[in-house]
Parts: sequence; C-alpha cells; structure tokens
Amino acid sequence: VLTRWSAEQVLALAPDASSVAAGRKLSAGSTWSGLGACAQPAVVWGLCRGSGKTPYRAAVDMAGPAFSCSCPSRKFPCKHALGLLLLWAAGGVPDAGEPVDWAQSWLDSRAERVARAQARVQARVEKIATKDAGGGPADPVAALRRAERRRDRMAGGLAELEQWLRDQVRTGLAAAPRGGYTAFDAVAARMVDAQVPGVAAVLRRLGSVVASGEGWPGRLLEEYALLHLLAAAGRSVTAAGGDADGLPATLLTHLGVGVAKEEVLARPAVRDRWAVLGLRDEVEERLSVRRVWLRGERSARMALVMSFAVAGQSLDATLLPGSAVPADLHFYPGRVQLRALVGAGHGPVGRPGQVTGAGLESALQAWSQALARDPWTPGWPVVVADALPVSHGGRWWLTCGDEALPLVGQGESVWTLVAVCGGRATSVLAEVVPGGVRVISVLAPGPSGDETVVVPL
Amino acid sequence: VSVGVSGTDGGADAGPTGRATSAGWDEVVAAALLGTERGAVDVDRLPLVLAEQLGRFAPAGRDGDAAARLLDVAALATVYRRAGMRSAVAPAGPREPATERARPASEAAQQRLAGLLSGGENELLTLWLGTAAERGLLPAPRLLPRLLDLATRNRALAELVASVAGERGRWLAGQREDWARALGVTASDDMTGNADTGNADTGNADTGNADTGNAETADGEGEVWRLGAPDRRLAWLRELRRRDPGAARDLLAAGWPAEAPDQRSRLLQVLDDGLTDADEPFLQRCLGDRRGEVRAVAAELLRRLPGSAFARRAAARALAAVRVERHLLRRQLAVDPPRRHDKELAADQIPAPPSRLDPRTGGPASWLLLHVVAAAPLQAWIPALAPTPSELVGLGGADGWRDVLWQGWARAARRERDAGWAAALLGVAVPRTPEATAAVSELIGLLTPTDQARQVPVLLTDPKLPLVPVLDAAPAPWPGPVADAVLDWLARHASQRPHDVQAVMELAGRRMPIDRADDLAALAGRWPPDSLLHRRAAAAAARVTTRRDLLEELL
Repeated sequence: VLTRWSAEQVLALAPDASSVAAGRKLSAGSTWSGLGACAQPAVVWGLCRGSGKTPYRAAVDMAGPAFSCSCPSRKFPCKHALGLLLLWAAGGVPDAGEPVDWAQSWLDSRAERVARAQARVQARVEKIATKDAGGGPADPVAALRRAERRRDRMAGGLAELEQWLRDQVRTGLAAAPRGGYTAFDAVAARMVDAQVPGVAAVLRRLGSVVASGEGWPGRLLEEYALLHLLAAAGRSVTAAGGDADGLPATLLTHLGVGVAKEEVLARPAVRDRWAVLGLRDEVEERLSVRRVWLRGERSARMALVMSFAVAGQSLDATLLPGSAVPADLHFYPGRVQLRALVGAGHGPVGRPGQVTGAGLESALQAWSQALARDPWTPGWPVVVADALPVSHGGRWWLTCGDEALPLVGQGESVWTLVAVCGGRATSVLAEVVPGGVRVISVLAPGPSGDETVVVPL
Repeated sequence: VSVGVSGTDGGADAGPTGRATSAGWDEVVAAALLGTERGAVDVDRLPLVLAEQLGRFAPAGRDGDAAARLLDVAALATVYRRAGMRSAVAPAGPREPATERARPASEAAQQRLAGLLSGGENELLTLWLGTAAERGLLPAPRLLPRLLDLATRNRALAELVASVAGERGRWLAGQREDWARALGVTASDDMTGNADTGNADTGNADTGNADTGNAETADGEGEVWRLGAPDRRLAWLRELRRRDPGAARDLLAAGWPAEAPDQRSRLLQVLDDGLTDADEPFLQRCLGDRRGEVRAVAAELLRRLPGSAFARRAAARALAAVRVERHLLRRQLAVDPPRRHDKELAADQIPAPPSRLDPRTGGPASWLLLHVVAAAPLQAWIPALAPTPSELVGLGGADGWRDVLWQGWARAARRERDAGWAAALLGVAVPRTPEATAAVSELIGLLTPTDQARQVPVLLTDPKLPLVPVLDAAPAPWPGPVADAVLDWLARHASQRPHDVQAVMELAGRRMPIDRADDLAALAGRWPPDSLLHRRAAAAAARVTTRRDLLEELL
C-alpha cells in the first residue's frame, strides 16, 4: 500500500495560491471516477470531469513526483493533479494492485525519457572525469575555436562596459535618473550579446536603485564600482590568454556563464543529513526563482539550492521546508561555496533535529569572510539564535542579546516575523546582506523538543 | 574634491556601518555624483586602511583615468564597508503578549484558513472564524497579519477576527494603528477617550452599551439631559426610563415642545421600554405631531396598549370591516370595507388611498381594508372572531378580499413578531401578490424552529412560491425535514424548472447539513455525467463536503 502524503505535503507542490484553491475544489470524490493508487510502481490516477465531454486523465508518479494530465492548463502541476493528490491524502482513492493501462503507458514513456536523460548526464559526467584524467573533447580544434570566439566576445563586451561605467562617473551620477530605465536596458542588452548575462541582470536592476529614494547615489556607486571591478577582473583574465573555460569559477559565476549540471554533479559529494530551513520564491525577469536553504546537521554547513521555472510553472518541490534529507550535495565551483545541487539520496526524508544558532557577531564574521573570498557575494545565510524583531527609531531591527542589526528588504513579512515570535526570542534563518539582515524563516522548537518546525515568512 | 579622514560620515545615527568604516565614503560619492570632469578624489587623503589596500590592489595611475581611479576606490570602499558592518546596541524589545487561554486549531485547519485568506469566499471564511471563536480555537500566529489586514478591509468580518485573534492577535494589532482600529484594540487611555467621542459622533442609537456607561456616571443631576449631546441625552433618558418609567415620561413630556424635531422620534422610542397605560395621554398628544415619523412611533406604541383609546378604536374599526358569519353549519368570513377615508382615519394614522392606485392591488376599498386590518392589534381578532389565528385564517368566505386580509394580517404579524400568526398565515395558501411573497421569508423567520422544520417543506410544495427566498429564510444549516424536502423537490422538479433548480442547488451547497453530502452526490448520479444538472449537483455536494471538512478540522 502506498504511504499517503499529508495535505500539507501536497499543497507545497502548488505553483500558486489560486492553484491551491482550485485544487481544493476538485478534491471532492464526486468529481472523480476511475480512481486508483498503486504502491509498485508508486502512482495515483483518476478521471476528472471538467467542463468538456471527455474527462481529464490525471496521474502522478509519486517517486518523482511527476505529473501528467490531459487538461490544457499550463500550470504544473495543474489543479486536477493537485485535487487528485488531495483526495488521495484524505483517503478518498482506493488502493489497486497495478496501474490502469493509460497510467502505466505514461509511466513507461516517462521511465524511458528519464533513463535517456540520466544516460546523457552520466555520459557527460564520465567524459568530464576522463578529460580531467587526460582525455579531451571529441574535436579539439573546433572546441578551441568556439572557446576563442566566446572569449573575444566577452572581452569585447567587458571592455565596453568598463568604458561605459567610466563615462557615467566622468559625467557624474547626477545625470543617471534622466537616462531612465532604457539607458540601462540598452547596455544590458549589449551584455547579453556579449554572453555575460550575469552583468546584464545587475544592469537591469539599476533603474530601481536610482529610484530607491534618498541615498541612491551611494547605492548606485556601489553597484557601478563592483561591476567595474568585475569587468576589469574578467577582462584581465581573458586577456591573459587561456580559454574562457579557464576563467576562475567565481568570476564566471558572476558574469553569468552557467556551469553545466553534469559538471557540478561530477564534483565531490558532500554527504550529510540536510535540514531544509528556508524557502523563498521570487520572480526575476519573468522567471520564477526558488531558493531553498539547507544546513548540514553534522557539518553545520550552509547550502543554497536554486531552481528556475517560467512563470506559472511549478518549481522544484522536492525540498520541503521543515524536512531533513539525507543526501549528497555537490557544490558549484567558486571561491565561496554555497550554491549546490542535490545528488544521490541516502535514506528516508525526516524532520530536522534541533538547530543551534549563533549570535549576530559570528553572523557578521561569516559574512565578512565570504566577502573577503568573493567581493560580489550578495548575501550569506546564518542561523541566529534568540532573535527578536524590535521596532525602534522608525525602523525594524533584528536583535539578539544586546546586539542589533537593521532588518532590510523584509517588506510586509516583518509582521509575520513579529507575529510568530510573539515577543519571545526565537531562532531564525537569516541572510546577512549589505546594510543589515533579512529573515527567511523562523525556526521554532517542535512539540517534542528535539525537532525544529520551520515557519517560512 | 578632496576626501578628509575625519570628514562627515553619514553613519553617525547608530547606523549599521560604523564611523570608522564609513570615513571618506560620502566624499567619494559626492565626487561621483558631480563627475570626475569637475574634480577628482584625493586618494592620498583616504583613511589609512583604505589607502594601504588601494596601493596593493589598484596601484595608482593604472591608466591615468580619474574615473577609473574613482571606481577602484569606490569598489574597495564598498567591500570594506560591507564587510565591516557592525551591530548596534539592541533597543528594548516589546512586552510579551499575555498567555493564551484558548488552544491553537489543528494544522489542517490552519492550512484551510491560509487557503481561504488567499482568495477564499467570505462565507467559508465566516464559517471558519465563527466556528473557531465558538470552540475557543486560535489561528496560527503566522496567519495573524493576514487576518488583521482582512479586518481592516472588511468591517463585517472584523468582529469575528477580533473574537478569534487571541491574546497574541490583540497584542499584534496594538502595534499598528490600522489594525488596532479595526479590532477595537487600543494602546493607551487617551485613545479610549477618542474612541468614545467617535462613537457619539456616528449618531448611532444602537451603540447603547458605551453610552449607558456614561449615563450611569452622570450622577442623576440631569446635567446631561439639559446640556448633553443628543446621543448622551438619549442614553441618559433610556437609563432613567429603566429605573423610573414615569419620571422619564414626565421629563420628556415637560420639555417636548422644545425638543428638536429631528430628535423627537428617537426620544419617543425610548418609551418602548416599560410601556404602560400611564403613557397614553402623552402618546395621544404626540399623534398630533407635525412630523410623520413621530406620529408613526406614537401610533405603534399606542397599538401596543390594548386598553388605550387608540388601540380600541383600531380594533373596533377592524372588527367592523371583518366579521364571521354563520352559513348553515359553516362559519365563514365576511368583509365590509370602510367606505371612504376621513379625518378620523387620518388622525389614527390610516393613510388616504393615493389618487392613482396600481389596479393589480385593488381599488380604494382594498387599500383602506388593508390598512385598517394591518393597523389593528392582533389580539383584536382573537378570541373575538375565532379561538386561534389558524382557525380564523382558515375560515372560508370573503371571496375577493382574502389576499388583502392575508396581507393585512401579515403586516401586523411582522410588526408584532408573532410566531403563532406567522404559522397560521403560512399554513394557508399564500396570495400570489408581490407583497405576500415578499412577506413569506420574514414570516418564516418568525416561526419557532419546530414550525420552521414543519412548514418550510410544505411551502416547497407550493408551485407558485419563489423557492429561494423561502429556503433562504429557513434556519442554516437546514433542519432534517427541510433538507429532505429540498432533495425531494430537486429530484422531482429538475426537468421542469431548470432555472430554480440551479439556484436551489447553489443554496443547497451552502445550507445543506454537512452529513447530507452523499445524498447530493447520489442526486447527481441521477443525471448523465456531462449534463449541467449533474455538474450543479456535484458542485453542491462538493461544497457541502468542503464545509464538513472545514468543521471537522476545527474539532
């Protein structure tokens, strides 16, 4: 018999709040027929009557989880899949010995696809491993020419950026607002052509920096200066010869040159029981970005797992805040190692144990160490023990003992923080960022005392 | 532009970046803002640490460009400032909220509430909040900000939010002015005073509680009565009426000519409490008031004094118009409507028929009969004409006048909120007039729960009655017999009255008892799966299931 999920687990899969509501509406047994749940293979299926003549076929592969539905919705999972899972979670789906034929054929085709993708990744991982051991690309001449072309393009773009930045400072930042967003967008577009999308993304944000009110020239200068540093560093490394792939990984990351997943997965595994302590979704340039923060229970090492989806699609929901996953993590290369991919799993998912935090002083220390290794580090996650939000002097502070740092970028979620803490100091997961800290989630002790309940803000 | 080590540093106001790390930064920003065309940063005068590092990382004159130089300095200073962030001295924290007396609702219930808060219907939200308040369950702290926001947007729900918010919710609301206002929570005594004044300004006579408090503190000197604001005077008079009805009436009567015309009806209404025959002379005097609403209040009060000349006149007029005749062995009603409108009728608040009457509602005789019957106290009829309202209403005869009689009695029954009369009127065929059908739901509301459960199913069998108002007036959730009748009705009438069926199914989803979801689902099964009827019934069943789940989660 397939172990049922809780409704909470199911709802964490929903791409947005309206999907939750729609899924709930469809979680009544009366709208479903041909229901079944099978343990081996782990799959749940059913037929849902919609507005049309033919009912929709919805099936969920619980091993993934992966979803299939014949409805035209572009949301993922769609409301039918959510409704089906909610019904199953509530015990409304009968157990079956084997999947219905259409569900089985979907599972088969999916298994085939997954196997093909895995074989591809495996092949690449092996190739990378053998390259390190002395092997080389299939066509070394063509590969070299490609790398050279790319290097030239990047070097050209970065030189242009440097000149543009100097021009801004030469004529004075006071002129910046008059240029408006379009001025930044034009340079950003140029950087996309030069294959440095990381730079383009920073440039596109500058319009909002200019519009950020009092003190904006200082903040704009900070951004300009760090971009200038990035451009100069990137260009000097490319000019020094060697192909673009040889650029130090930290620079490549900030320039926005992606590292292939296979390459990351080929890096050494860090095995631990990873407590999922925070999750934040943001929409950046029409792309949904999910950040999930993990912490090794043995190593106390922090990790950040990012996933991306076109707006409206479901983000990776395998890492639920408030769970603990025994698994391998593979960290992205770079001088500061935070971003990671999840590799092989090593046992059942459980609840995180007690999380020990530190004071603000050690949080600041970790932050300055990260900056020392990578000056472009945007933020550093820390677990702060005995934290309490306090309003004072017209702004919010995160206090810990007799120390305090300003809360920045918190928006309305500061009230959730205040409500959850309820005037009592509590552990929180926070990110140290320029100018202060931003709380990601509250880490409350669970009912049994040796567990942690994660309340995302 | 030169940079001084001891230059002004914007971080003096206990900012996160201390003085030492900020030194020189403002000058760098000023130079950049102005443009290096107009002046450069004197790097040699930067703080020692920065200058040293600058020498290491960005040697001077790399390409002799002042702008590049400034950007190098700024980059170094930016990282230096960011990495050098210091903590400030913690301000004192807020006081903790009091210990909760209620317990938190289940996690499933919290998730349900979270879903309802992000785009749920108010009806389910009301059900959740009302049930939680009743069972002493709390929402999770993480949902409080959204609940309080809801209270600021929706005044109807604000009271419910206040009743479930718990100690922590009130504590949280006290930290934000808009939340505090929405929940009626106040942080200081000054604000309590303000809230009181605000109360008086709204001019709402129903906000009696706070006002009564004021009256009690008024020391009985009559200071408030002579000089107070209208609301305070009203409250004071109410309080006096409660303690000494006669004194209150005499006081009111003594100052009556001086009372502002627009306050008179509200003041007169105070006599409603503790009404006795001793009030009659004053009320009779008020029947001659220039304002219609004052005369109406006086007439209402006089009608409630059976011994008053007014009530006796009204009863006599009604009994002159309607009598019971004996025909062989049968008793039946006979009607002799008032001939014409006259001064006497006008003096007793019977309005004259308008010159142009809607022909469907009858002529001037019908008009006068309706108003005369409606104006009579209900007890004029019983036992004068019949032992019980049911027997009177059930009598035959009076052909052509029955609708008018029914409507007149229905008006009186609603005015006197009489359950027995309501039951009697609903027990006979309801006239096919707009007034009568409109009266039905109000009459249902007057019935005792037992009568409601008994009579609503019967009313449903009346093919001409609009169902939705009838069902809407029935208690929610529907008593078993009503639920049975609705299911039966839906099964039988679905094909003939598709429009009503849809509306009734919609209502069924909201009012059907939560243990009847399966019956609705079974009903859906009677129609083909693609049909509209099937989908409507299934939707209603799903809705009932949702309500059931919601309530079960709140155990």
